[in-house]
Amino acid sequence: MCLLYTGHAGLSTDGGSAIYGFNPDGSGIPVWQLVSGLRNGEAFPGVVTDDTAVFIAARRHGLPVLSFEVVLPEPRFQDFVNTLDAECQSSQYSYGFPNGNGDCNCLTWMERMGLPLLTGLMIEFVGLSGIATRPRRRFGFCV
Amino acid sequence: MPPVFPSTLKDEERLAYLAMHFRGTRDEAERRATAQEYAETVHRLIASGKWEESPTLEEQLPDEWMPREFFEFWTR
Repeated sequence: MCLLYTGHAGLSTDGGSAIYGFNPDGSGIPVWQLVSGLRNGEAFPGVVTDDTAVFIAARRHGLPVLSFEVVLPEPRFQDFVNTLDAECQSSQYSYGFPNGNGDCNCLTWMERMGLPLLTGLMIEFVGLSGIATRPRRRFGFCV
Repeated sequence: MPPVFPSTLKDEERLAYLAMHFRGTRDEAERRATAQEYAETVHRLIASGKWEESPTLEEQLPDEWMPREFFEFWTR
């Protein structure tokens, strides 16, 4: 339910049958403490989980679910599948809200995975409001 | 250093960037200044009568830094 409120991003290698997402591992602490820590800029261990049910629930609730395809040549696609498998076993990244101490959140995790998200069109890049608004961005603990 | 935003930035978006700026510093004075600007933005949004979507969790400050009016408004 929490992910339906915050919004979520995930990726699939089989056309959407299974969608994997990057989440904070809040095991052992109450949800309020996890959320408070994230809003305070803290990092938590990251875990990759099968979040297909989250996206199905989002559709069921009438929430907008956007999707697009990224086409990779076969050797790179297999590398990506292997990297995703490894991340599902044990993620090498910590989770944090933007500009906090974590390496990435569910969105920027896809970049860490080496997934190209931009088309390369200049108009798309300069049209990103975050580029004009917030030129400095930080990933990982460095304050 | 306090964030400088383009004048065209909507107040709803401003909250997101202020929360992001808040997380990026441990300097108490800077956090206080950012929370103050966040509270002023919340007040403007409430006064506008057109605040229709609650900020997501990552667009909010920790509870103890959020303006009281925020909770009053969204729990009406």
